[in-house]
Amino acid sequence: MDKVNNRKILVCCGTGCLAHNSYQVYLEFKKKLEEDTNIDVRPIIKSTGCNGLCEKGPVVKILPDEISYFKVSVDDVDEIVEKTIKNYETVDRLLYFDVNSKKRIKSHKDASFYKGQLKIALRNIGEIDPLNIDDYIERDGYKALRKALNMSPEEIIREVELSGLRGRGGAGFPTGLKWKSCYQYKDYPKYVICNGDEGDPGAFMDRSIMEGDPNSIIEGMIICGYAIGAHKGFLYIRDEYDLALKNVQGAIENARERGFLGKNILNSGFDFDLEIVRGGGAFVCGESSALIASIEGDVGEPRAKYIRNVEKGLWDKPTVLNNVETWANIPPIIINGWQWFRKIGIEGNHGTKVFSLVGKVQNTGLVEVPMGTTLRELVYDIGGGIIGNRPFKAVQTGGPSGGCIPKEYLDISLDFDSLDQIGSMMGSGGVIVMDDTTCMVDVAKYYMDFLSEESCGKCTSCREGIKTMLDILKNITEGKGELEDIDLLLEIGETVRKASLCGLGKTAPNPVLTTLKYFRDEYIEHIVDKRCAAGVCKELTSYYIDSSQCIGCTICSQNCPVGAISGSLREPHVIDENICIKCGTCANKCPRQAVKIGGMKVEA
Amino acid sequence: MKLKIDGKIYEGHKGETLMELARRNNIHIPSLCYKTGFEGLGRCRLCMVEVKENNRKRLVSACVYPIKEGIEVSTSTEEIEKIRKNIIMLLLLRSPNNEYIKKLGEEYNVAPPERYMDASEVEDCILCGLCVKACEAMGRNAISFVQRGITKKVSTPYDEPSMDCLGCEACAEVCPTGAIKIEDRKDEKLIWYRGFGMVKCSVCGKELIQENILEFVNEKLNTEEEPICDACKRKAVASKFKDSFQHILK
Repeated sequence: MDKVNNRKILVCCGTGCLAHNSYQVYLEFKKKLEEDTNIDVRPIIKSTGCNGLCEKGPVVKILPDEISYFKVSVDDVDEIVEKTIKNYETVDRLLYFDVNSKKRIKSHKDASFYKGQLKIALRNIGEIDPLNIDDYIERDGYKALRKALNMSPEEIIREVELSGLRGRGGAGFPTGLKWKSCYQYKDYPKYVICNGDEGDPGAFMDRSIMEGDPNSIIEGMIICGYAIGAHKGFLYIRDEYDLALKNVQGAIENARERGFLGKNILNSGFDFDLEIVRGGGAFVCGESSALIASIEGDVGEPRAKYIRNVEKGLWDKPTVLNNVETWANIPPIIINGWQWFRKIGIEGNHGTKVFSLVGKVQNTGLVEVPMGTTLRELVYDIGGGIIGNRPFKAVQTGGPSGGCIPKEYLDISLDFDSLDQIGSMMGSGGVIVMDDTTCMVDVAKYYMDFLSEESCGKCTSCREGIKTMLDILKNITEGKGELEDIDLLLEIGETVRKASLCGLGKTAPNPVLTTLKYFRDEYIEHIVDKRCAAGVCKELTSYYIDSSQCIGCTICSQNCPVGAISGSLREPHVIDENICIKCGTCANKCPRQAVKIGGMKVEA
Repeated sequence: MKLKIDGKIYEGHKGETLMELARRNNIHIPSLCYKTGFEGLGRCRLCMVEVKENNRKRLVSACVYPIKEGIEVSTSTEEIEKIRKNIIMLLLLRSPNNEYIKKLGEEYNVAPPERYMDASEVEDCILCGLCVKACEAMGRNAISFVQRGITKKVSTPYDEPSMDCLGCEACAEVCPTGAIKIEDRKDEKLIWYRGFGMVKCSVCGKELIQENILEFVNEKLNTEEEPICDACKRKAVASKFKDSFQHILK
């Protein structure tokens, strides 16, 4: 490769990579580049937000060479500087190994994990230093704001409305319609709120945007403020998101210094400022009315929303509340126009959606794909399929309020309406992939347990309903279930769904109702046969060795932590159930799959 | 503003909730957390009713639903009755030994599955929140909801005696299930972990009122009256009358 100016080394310092020591990698690069005097073209080194493929972090990208290195450690820095920076060679062993094509790939852009993706909300993440506003400006940052300030509020709202953008927080309410309704109420002051209280287990879409590209959220909010006539906005950020809080705060200060926030923004005469509110750590505060109560200083409990926030929201004033990802979509829509956005995705569900793909899938991480991408494409093409080529069993979408989708629906289009139809939901975009080692009754129990702590506890139906459903599920997983429990679960689930006040309560039974709908056999197996085929519910699991398949290799007995397996070399082994603690190590280690999972041990 | 409830037309005021309108017209909608004079809380969910608006039906809680022109309300449908029964069943599972809830269970003919009943459970509080609102109305805010989810409860900060509590018993007065216990001890009353000394009647010496309440009332009214019990007060007034009456007779 020819020598180039303007080289950049981008070290991912998103939360996932940081946990793998990426900041030390960043410091090491800095030190090396400062010490080494033999570098002809000195690259710029930057720490960036999350690149998405967290599982393979720390990620280091070298531009414009388009080389991406994965799992980079401090010890690799020397070699990268010597080979890549000085001699324009690649360090092959650090390149991405594509599980689909079984090849090493030089640029991440060619990797199947990234190929099917289209980045709009995540457009800058991994490409810029989130605390350097010039990086953002270089990539068209605040261009949308300049354009918007020369448009009329009606024109902006029309643009957002026609784009077909729907709220990315879960419910998918049309964003433009929300802005338009709020614009029509002539009650001042009005407010703009960003919901950054992401709390679904396994979800980190909003976190990544707040950490990696905070300016895109800020710009979206200013544009909305101008359009609806608000001068004040709040960013409600989950308190555990330390880096997000720091980066958003830094970005707000930078934006103020440059005149994008504060009085008379860019000499337009429009004033707007932002303030961060730290969430108290309650999952339910991601629900809009609870979030507003929390900003007001009240207990974070949802309120009845028979009058909508656009009319009476924060302090009973007209308020537009949108999710982080929705805000990040606004600037590109204003710059490129609604026609551009509307062409992406499918009818009724335009644009892209960010998913956090986690669980038993080869490539875990953040993924942004056009709406209408199928679940199969997400799990197999981008995710690289199930770890260890095990059978796919289900995906859980939409967080605790979502549902479990079985393999019959692998070709479902990922959009608000299709997911809704089969009893699950888009939610904020968590996708948890499960294989045959997952017990669906246990999954339902896990979510009820989560919600029993995270429901605000206001409505009888939600609080007591979840508690009772949890009690029932505990019984079933402990071998104390009876068939009538299934009807009771359905009965209570229905009441919780119908009688609860807020979105959390109304959707809380979904994990139970969808697993009952698609995996009823598993419930019956737990109740009638007292058996958990996945070997997850320990009370319903026993291990035994099939003597016809055992080759007597002794691996199981060597690995058994409690010495429960006996047998001589080349002879079938036996597990003593009285000693066995059901850890499942023998089943995992057996080279012949001779260790079988049986049901609950019944006293003779 | 006109709307229909169970087929009959009623006149409502703007800003009024469905429950307020129903109570005014003696229409029964069951509720545990609604009390006249308090804002609707929407907690117990027993007041779910069906509202039909522009041919769209939905379930709402009457105590927090602001009425609209032209809506049609059904206070009892098969679906609603089922929801109410299930909510009462859930309450019975929570408070199986509370008399009020037991009576409600009988009224609605609800018996929860015994396998999930804990006969030794002594919980009486159903978290309706009326006590919290009563305390707020007294201007004290001594008690509030603490924690969330299934561990939610009403208490003072850190479950410790609160200096904001007057011992006025307004919370116990509004509680539908008698969950707030007041313990009478020698010379004091124990409520919310705090003992309140009692003022005695300056005439007969009978225990009259919590010292804090008297102080609070005197401060509010800017008076400093002698503490006298109702009976002694009546006697004093009567004897004054007697004096003047005798004077007239003479």
